[in-house]
Amino acid sequence: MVMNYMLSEEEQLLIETAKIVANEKIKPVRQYYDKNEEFPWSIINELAKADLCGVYIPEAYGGLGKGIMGLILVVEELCKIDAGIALTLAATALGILPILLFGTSTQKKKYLPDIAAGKSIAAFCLTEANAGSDVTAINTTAIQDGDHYIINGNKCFITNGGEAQVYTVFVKTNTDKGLRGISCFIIDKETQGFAFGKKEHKMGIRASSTRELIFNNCKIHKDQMIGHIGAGLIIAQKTLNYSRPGVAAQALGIATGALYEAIHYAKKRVQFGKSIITFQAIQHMLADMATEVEAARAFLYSCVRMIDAKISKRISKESAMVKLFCSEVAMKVTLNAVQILGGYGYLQDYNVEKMMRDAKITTLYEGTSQIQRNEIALGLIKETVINE
Amino acid sequence: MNKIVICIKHIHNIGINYFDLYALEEGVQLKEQNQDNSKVIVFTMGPRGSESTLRTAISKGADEAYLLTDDKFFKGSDTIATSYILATAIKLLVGQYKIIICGKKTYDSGTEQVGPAIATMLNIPHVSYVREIKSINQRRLTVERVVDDGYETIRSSLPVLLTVTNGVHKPRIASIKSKLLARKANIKIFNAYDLDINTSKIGLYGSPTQVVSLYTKKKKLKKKFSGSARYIVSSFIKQFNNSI
Ligand SMILES: Cc1cc2nc3c(=O)[nH]c(=O)nc-3n(C[C@H](O)[C@H](O)[C@H](O)COP(=O)(O)OP(=O)(O)OC[C@H]3O[C@@H](n4cnc5c(N)ncnc54)[C@H](O)[C@@H]3O)c2cc1C
Repeated sequence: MVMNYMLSEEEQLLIETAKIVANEKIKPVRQYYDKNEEFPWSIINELAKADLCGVYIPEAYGGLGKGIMGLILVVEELCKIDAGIALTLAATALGILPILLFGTSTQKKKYLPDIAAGKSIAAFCLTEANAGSDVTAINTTAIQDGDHYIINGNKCFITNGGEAQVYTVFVKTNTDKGLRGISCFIIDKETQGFAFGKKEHKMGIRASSTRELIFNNCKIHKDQMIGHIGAGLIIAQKTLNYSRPGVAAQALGIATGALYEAIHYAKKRVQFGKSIITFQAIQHMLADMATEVEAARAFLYSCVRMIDAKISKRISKESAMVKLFCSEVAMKVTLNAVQILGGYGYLQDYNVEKMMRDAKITTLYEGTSQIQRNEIALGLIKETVINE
Repeated sequence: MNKIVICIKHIHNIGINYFDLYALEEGVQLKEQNQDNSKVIVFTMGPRGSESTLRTAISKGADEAYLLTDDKFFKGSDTIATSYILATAIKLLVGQYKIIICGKKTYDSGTEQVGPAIATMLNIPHVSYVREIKSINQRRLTVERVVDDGYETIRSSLPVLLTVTNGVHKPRIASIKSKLLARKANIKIFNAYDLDINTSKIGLYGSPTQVVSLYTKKKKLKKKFSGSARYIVSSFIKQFNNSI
């Protein structure tokens, strides 16, 4: 890469370390995990040993304190090789962010060090069968019973489901209060009344587990609530503001990986007596892909610098923009990478086939591209009200 | 305390020599297994730039690092002079040690001589091409070494010098925290004067051998076979049989 983003020495160290783990530990097994839909615990162990699990967690809790920037640099680097395996880390960040952003110091002390050390992973549990884009439609309830809450209902599509130790779960504590009736609880895996349902079989990111959660009279102490009662929706929205750049980083990593594969293939593949990279049609495709990838990276890094600098509370528009942009770039670039590899690109023996499958999810989860556009438009409307 | 000494080489533009990573890993694993406050001490002789390789070694588990560097007196040292500098430094700076581990060879010059020469100068036994330390106690160890057509199990008294090949223990990936610590670690630097070394035995003039020139060998195409697979194979075999 020629473009220089003035990353600090420590940020470069994160990238360098993630790259070594990705190449030495993940690359040799990525096809295996994709084919077998097996959860990559052995790799999580490697990430933990290299200190890559807690880059965004403050040093006081055993992390490296490198902010969202640290997280996205690591996620991007890992996703160049495999997005499914890298998702275990990114989804853990999503799952633990509600505690990081809104938890009490007791809750942080209890949960963050194990996450930072890679001893446990987390999951963010919002979606339900009838509440996807419309999160306010959730039906899982928590009814107060003295010092406890009794939780009933099902969550679906939960990344790291069944494997995670820590679940941040959004529930209705008051069904009459609408938007203010949602609260967020931390639920440990072993809690009675908490079980796992169906594991989904997916198009891409198949190393990641996506699973249903079942709460059946699950009793949770009130100290496990994050923030105050009724703050759940705000917690979810703020968490997503911080985590969407993580999805953008997955997309960027996949796109970069696919671009790399396409360039190398195009140099080697000979047709009509020439290597296909000498054809202008191929060159222009590669040029567009590289330009889009670089634009995505520049946008992502500057957006995350702004988020980490905490100069603005209103980051939902930018965070949505960068997720939208990077994920759409990933789709375009992986699609074109397959095109450049021709028939070989369609085979599982070549990596771009998997990259194209993996890329698609980034336009869907943590809000579809349509929902990102809604968020961006809402930001535009709000901004102009303030300015006028 | 048990001191485990590792000799490593910094290779220009590359960093730590490949086989030295295995030497280091073997030493660090020894320390970790025994948990009897062993210490891993790394040495390198080379230009100032070799410091980065010592930091790599610290990030992968070494406790102490010595850089033996002297632009005037060490430059141009051949294998005997290099071994003499390392042996002198080990004697002076470590004293008692349990084991010395070197890589079986370097990637740039590849003589495979430095390890055995150090052992000879220190008057201790050595075992070369070791792939694994099978067992070790206070007095002796058992190792498995690679020979042409298999493995040899060798027992030796301690202290001993081993040269290791890319063996059973894969070099670890340094964690971010250990890399950050390694950046701040204290590297002890010694020159010819500090080591009180006999300068007539080192450097360009103290070296019995001198590299006069280096060049990359051009491979000459002896014969090209083309045609059907069957034809290529049969004509190759014919040619091969004729040539032996
Ligand atoms: C592999 C995977 C992992 C996931 N991981 C998690 C997780 O860890 N935690 C979690 O809580 N959830 C998770 N999800 C759920 C994911 O966030 C939702 O699938 C996503 O938000 C979309 O919801 P939906 O699937 O119900 O689609 P729907 O909401 O039913 O949307 C269907 C279509 O309608 C469009 N649409 C909906 N509303 C609007 C609107 N207002 N304007 C314009 N278009 C609209 C959508 O864009 C989409 O095209 C995961 C999903 C998948 C597939």
